[in-house]
Amino acid sequence: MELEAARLLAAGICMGLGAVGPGIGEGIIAGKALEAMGRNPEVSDKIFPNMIIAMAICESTAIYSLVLSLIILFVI
Amino acid sequence: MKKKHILYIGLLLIALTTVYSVITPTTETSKEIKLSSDILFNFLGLNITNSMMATWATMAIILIFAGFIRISLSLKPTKLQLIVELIIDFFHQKMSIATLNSKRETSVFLPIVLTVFLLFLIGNQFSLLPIVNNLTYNGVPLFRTPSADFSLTIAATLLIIVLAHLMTVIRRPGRYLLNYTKLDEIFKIRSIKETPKIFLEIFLAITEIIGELAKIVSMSARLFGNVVAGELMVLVMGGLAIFTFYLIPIPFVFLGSFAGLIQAFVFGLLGVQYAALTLNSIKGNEKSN
Repeated sequence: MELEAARLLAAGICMGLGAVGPGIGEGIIAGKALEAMGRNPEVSDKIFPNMIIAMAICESTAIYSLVLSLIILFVI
Repeated sequence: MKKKHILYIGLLLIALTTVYSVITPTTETSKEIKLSSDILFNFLGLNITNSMMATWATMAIILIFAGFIRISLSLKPTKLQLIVELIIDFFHQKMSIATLNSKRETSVFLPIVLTVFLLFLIGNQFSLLPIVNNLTYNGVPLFRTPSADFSLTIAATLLIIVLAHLMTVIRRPGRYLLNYTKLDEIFKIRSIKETPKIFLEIFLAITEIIGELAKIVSMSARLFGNVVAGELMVLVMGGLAIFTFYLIPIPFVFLGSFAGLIQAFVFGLLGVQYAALTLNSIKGNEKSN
């Protein structure tokens, strides 16, 4: 395999596989938060910021793979 | 009547800037995808990059805004003052909950975290400003979104986390060291059966050091990755602008702007949480002993 093709493949696989886990995780977080808000709408103001933070933490693995694939594509 | 006029003018401005920022990437064919910022000129051996210029411009905007708020400060608050008070109050509340109601730590950390938050809040929207995208200096664009450069995000992260560690070290050096090595557990051995447990404790303490490093990497890479991804998305979709009557890129511009807002918010709150975690590490042991 040529080097260029290997690089493109690596970047694609890295981003694609890295996005699976955080997608599932964020879905679970959003689902649970909405469930809690539906059950008790008064605390939704308190739940929402925490939900955003939890999502951001959950997202970090996807961001790692994004940064990694950007480095593979444009720097190396 | 006056309120309505202001609203219309504001809406018109937003629409104009959005359309303008959508059109500009297509007119500028020299703009290419890059991860590092370009060097504009050399000042006393220091390379001045275009993201540094944008950071300074953001700082100037914040300073003028802060001065304006300070001058118009009154007991009967205006709307702008109310918004600013809302933001400050929100972070103050989060910070005092996180640091277990310690007034001193809150007063030290709140200004730093809030300043970093404001810097990213305004800096992330930098690419939305009209005209700015087209300014060039020696063929290099003069401005670049500040947080699309890894140097700024890692500097802000290091500022918050290292300062929290320094504060903890100065206050109780012994306790801090024991937190990260757990050497005092050796003296608590009563029988030979407990030795594996002690070794496990020491090993876990070492992994905590790695965790601190991971915090720095994750916090800075998150902001950088999100902002760069938003910029790239707008850039790629901007290529479609002419064929789709400038309609397709608009939601992506909005999405990028929204992501920048959320990421600034997340960065501020995570900074508060991580700093408080370090500051509380010496308090928790006091209670358990």
